[in-house]
Amino acid sequence: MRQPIYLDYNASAPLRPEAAECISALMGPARNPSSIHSFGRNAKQIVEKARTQLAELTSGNPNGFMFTSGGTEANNTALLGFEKVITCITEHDAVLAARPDAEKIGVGADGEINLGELEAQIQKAKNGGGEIVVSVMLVNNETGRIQPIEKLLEICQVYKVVFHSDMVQALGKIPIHLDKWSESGLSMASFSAHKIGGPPGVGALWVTAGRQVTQLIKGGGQEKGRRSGTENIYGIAGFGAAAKSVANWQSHAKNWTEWRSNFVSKLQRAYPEIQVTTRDAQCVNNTISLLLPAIPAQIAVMSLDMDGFAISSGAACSSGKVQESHVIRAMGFGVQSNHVVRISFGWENTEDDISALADAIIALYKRSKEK
Amino acid sequence: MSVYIPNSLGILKPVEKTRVVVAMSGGVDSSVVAALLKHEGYEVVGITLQLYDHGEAVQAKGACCAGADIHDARLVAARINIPHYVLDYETLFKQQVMDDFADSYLAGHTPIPCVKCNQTVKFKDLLSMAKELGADCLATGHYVQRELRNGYACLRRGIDTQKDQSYFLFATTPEQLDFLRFPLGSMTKNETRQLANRFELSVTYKPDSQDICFVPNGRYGDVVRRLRPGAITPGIIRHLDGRILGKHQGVIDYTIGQRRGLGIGGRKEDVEENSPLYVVDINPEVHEVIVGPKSALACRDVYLDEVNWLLPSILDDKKGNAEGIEVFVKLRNTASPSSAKLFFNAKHSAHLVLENPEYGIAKGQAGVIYDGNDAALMLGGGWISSAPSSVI
Repeated sequence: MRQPIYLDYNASAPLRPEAAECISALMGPARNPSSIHSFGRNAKQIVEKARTQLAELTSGNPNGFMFTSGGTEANNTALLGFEKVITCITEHDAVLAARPDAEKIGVGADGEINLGELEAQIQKAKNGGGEIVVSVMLVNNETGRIQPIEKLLEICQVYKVVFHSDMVQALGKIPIHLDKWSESGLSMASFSAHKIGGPPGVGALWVTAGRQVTQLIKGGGQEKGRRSGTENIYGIAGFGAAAKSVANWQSHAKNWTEWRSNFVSKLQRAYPEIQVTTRDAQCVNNTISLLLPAIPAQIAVMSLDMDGFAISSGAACSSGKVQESHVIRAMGFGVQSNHVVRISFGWENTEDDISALADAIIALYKRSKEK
Repeated sequence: MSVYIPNSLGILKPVEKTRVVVAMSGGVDSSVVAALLKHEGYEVVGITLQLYDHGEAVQAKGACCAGADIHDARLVAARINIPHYVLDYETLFKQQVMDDFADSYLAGHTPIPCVKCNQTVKFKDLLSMAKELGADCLATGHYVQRELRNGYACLRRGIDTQKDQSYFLFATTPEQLDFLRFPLGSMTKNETRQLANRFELSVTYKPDSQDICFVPNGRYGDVVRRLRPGAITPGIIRHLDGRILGKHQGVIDYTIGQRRGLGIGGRKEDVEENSPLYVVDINPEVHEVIVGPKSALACRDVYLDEVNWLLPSILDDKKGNAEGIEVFVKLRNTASPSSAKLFFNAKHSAHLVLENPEYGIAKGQAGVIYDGNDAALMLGGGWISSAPSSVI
């Protein structure tokens, strides 16, 4: 049997060769960036280099980055200490579960946050007093939907509330302008290494100059007192190398928009009822959220896995259980929420992979319809 | 065109082209089923159902949503190298099994949630999912034998009578049975453990589960209280002769035949009363628990409803027999089959007359009927709708 085809980059991307090379070259000597001696100084340099590489990719001040154990920790840290949190119903669990007390703003049928509702909630929260944070992701992990960050910033500036954005799925896929957005009121942004070909277990929270964050992990005061614990130096170096390598696959990514539309056309020629849940909304071009009315998502994911295609439905819980997507349900798909799968591709894929997946879905669809 | 003889699962395909979904609970039995079939060369797909929030069930705050059993199932699947999926059946399980469990206790009955689970979640939903996955059959780790008689699948008790699980499978329909396989039916538990050891499965020495899966500590009353807060009313404990002997916190804490923990004492002055008292009846409408001597539990007539016939043809032959059909019947899982005469009321209800009285038969339990000439062959079974005392 041929090698399985991996089409679940939004869950985790394969390690970029540049990151692998960088990490393996470092492995060996003791490297504690807090040590006074030459080994320590050398380690410190490695961390700072990664910070710069990440800053270049995101057009942000390198000093704003504090490294974390991943996007989840970055989100948890960002939302600590606020009296009130206003977020979006389609956020990742790393935000929703971090602040279960948050007000959750709904989305339209195409997945865009309801801006009117957001404004109303901010006004309501303002009456209560206490510091308010609005947290809205830039790109949705399940649908690829891009949220209108400029408009969100505008609203938050008008009401003078703190704005945080989970940019984990945006990194490497769309341009990010931290410094520019910071001028319009962006306070914090979360990132994760393994979504762009860095190693898993490392992420970063970017914090605008002058803003304090509340420590989630206390101890030796690393990362300028913002996050304690000896730095995950291999992870951080790999994160930096992966950030730098984005430029190496950008030209490859230019084709994805066309692949995406060819893939959808092929499916719809066979079965017009198959739809993209985000319709024509602005999405990152590696992600397809696909409604398969005749096949429950978990059947599709399992069957395609057995056929050698790795795709997903919703975000995976730690137990790996297949469960319904809160994102798709929030978009108003009702009982059909159980029929949506996510395909997300990346630099190792070819158009043949995606075309083969379309064939496999059509075959599965046919089998299901014949029953 | 190739012609195949049936493989070990009775399917006309070569083993490597036969896709088998194995319902893996994380216990030793279903793990061995998966390992055995994989060893034989079948295309095995493991599925584990997450049925309830483990953390909530054991009341451990912050426990992982998936319990140790799911973890064990994953380890086994990885060990034997099969695709394995964990599916979220929490909502379905709550609706179809746990709610019924709670309501049944509130009605003064003693439910068997394992049968409901087989009837609904496992053999309806999981089975149809297996079909959708293109599987040729669904295999489980039940100790029960499936055999073909005149082309129809029927059930026999497991060879290991200590482990026989036919009682829990009486509600299996012929269509379901067509698609089901029970590879452990002809094995003893000891043999299963030996196989687990041979396949080097991490669950080889895992203890057998004793309780209802979502009542891990055996305190079912706590579960009912959590599921039905406010629905539980305290009441009185009354003797059959009419005297009030004490109070109770809810009929759900009592089952027919229960002797211990009745919460009534101080009857020493009454010599006649020194013989132990048992719960002989539960009256949920007036929240009364009725106690009496063991003799009051004796019962010879048992009425069943929602009867499922696995071998209807055998019954057809004898339907005219006004004197009843000689059968064996099990009125609880742990009892050995006893002799009885079977009379039909209607297609899905039956009346059993026991040769010797039995004690402590509870509504909500099952009456499972076996052939009078072949005590291992299951004819069918139903839910006990009434079992009047033969002395009152």
